[in-house]
Amino acid sequence: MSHQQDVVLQLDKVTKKIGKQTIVDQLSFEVKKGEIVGLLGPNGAGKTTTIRMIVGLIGMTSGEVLINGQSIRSSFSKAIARVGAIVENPEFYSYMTGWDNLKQYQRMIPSITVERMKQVVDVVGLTDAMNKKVKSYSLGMRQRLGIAQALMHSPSILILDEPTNGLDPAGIREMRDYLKTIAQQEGIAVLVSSHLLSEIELMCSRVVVIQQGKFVHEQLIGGAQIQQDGNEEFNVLVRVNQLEQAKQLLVGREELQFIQANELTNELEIRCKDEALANYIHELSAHRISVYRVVEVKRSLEDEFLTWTGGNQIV
Amino acid sequence: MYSFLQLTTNEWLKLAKKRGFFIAFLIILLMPLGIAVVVKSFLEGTELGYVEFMQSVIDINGGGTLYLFLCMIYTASLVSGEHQLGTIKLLLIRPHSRSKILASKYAALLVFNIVLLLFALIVSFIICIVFFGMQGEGSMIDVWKTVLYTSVNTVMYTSIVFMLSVLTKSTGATIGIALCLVFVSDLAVLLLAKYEFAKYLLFFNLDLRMYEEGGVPLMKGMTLGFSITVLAAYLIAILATSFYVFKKRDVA
Repeated sequence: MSHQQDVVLQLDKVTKKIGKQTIVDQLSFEVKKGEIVGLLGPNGAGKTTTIRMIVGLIGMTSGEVLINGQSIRSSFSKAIARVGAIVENPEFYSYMTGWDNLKQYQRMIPSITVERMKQVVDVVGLTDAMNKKVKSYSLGMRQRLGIAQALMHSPSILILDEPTNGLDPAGIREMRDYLKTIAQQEGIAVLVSSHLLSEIELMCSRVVVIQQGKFVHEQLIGGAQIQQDGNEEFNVLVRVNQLEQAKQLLVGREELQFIQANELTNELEIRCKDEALANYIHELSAHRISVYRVVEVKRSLEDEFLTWTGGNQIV
Repeated sequence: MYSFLQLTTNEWLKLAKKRGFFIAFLIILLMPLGIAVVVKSFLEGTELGYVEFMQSVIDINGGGTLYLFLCMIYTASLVSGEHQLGTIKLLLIRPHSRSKILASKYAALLVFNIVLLLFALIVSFIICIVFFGMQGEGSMIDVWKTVLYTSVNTVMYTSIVFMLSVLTKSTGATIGIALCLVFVSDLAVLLLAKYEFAKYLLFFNLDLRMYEEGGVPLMKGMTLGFSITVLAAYLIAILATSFYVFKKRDVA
């Protein structure tokens, strides 16, 4: 049952129809405690609709969204009380100061103390800007105010729609590091939708891919992916001084699959398992072929994404 | 209840922290001041009693029109403003039902109407005392009656504005349609008076002064009780529509 307790957000056959069009179709997935999950999909796949249904901004045609076991449909207040969210760009009352804006949300949730507000503001680095009107804020500052707003009530899940939109590289990195920190330290689950694949790749521990409103693929990425027992095949690029001879050594070995050779760079791409590679390198040394580099060829998330979604329209 | 007060405080602050908030009060201050200055300098010898003066400042056919317009303009953006700013998304993902949030907005609307009316009364009283001294006939009861008539009229119109704000999600459209309604209402009364069904129309029942002593109801068979019933029915319909639409709406 510990599995069940760890699940913070659960979507069960969530469907949204508008007229005859099905925007989201029987979508199911889960987000567990401490996990950062990326929601990926081409344009119009239904990412934003899904996120809006999770936070109750849009009603669903059928299905169920549970947050800590509470239904967003039948017990909205209880379910949403544990959610912090930014839906698209965080919009504020621009004629008020940052602090006044946060006070608005504090009045709506009685448990938030002024100390907690100050603490969150400090964490996002906006302490000096609190008395300035939001209209004078940069986009990055607004994003951070958005994060502060979403974290004030110590939610168990943070839902972010395009969180790095409009941030500069430093801001993106800061945001990413920050999300990782709160996911690890406070055990907050994070669901992020983004169209920046590289960003998702660096930030998330798992991705859920949807297309035309349907679940397509689910994949662990980054550190979580290295749980291999040495039995998995991978591609590797080997740079040597004598390409032809190195290639000859491959002949007749089934465990070493030749992929391609690049004569300009003297590189050889092969596909094999851990042990086979080690043996091959011994072999190369025995034949006095110098090995300059051995690099694993990783398929980027973008490549994989295109395979999952059939390669049509990139997000 | 406490949480509802907090929500209403929020709504009030959203109104009050706007830069142009004081303008309504400035206009309400300048109007009686202007009247007093004109009367004092051009109509010499005219003495105004404070009851008469206060009534003229808030009467439906007097300064009350200005008061009505101000209330309408200030409350037009209550709901549509949130849509236009995009803040509606952050507002609706809090642990409060949509009905409660909309109710707090309506409460803020009523508070604004009351505050502005009280301000008008106080200011006109002071100005009258300063310019003409404490005199004149009539009692405060007459003033309160006028307050009541103006309030009924204003609450009905601002409720319509509130509904339009929910329906159109656009402050501009709301103000436009609402001002049209105000101007059309007189014309409608004029044109439709010959039809029997007209007495059930909202416009025919808005001005309760017609049931005063010496007043003539717009149509035969209309009584104070009848008008109050009609107004209540309209108010319920207006609010029911607003709440239903706001509750069901997909916020995109």
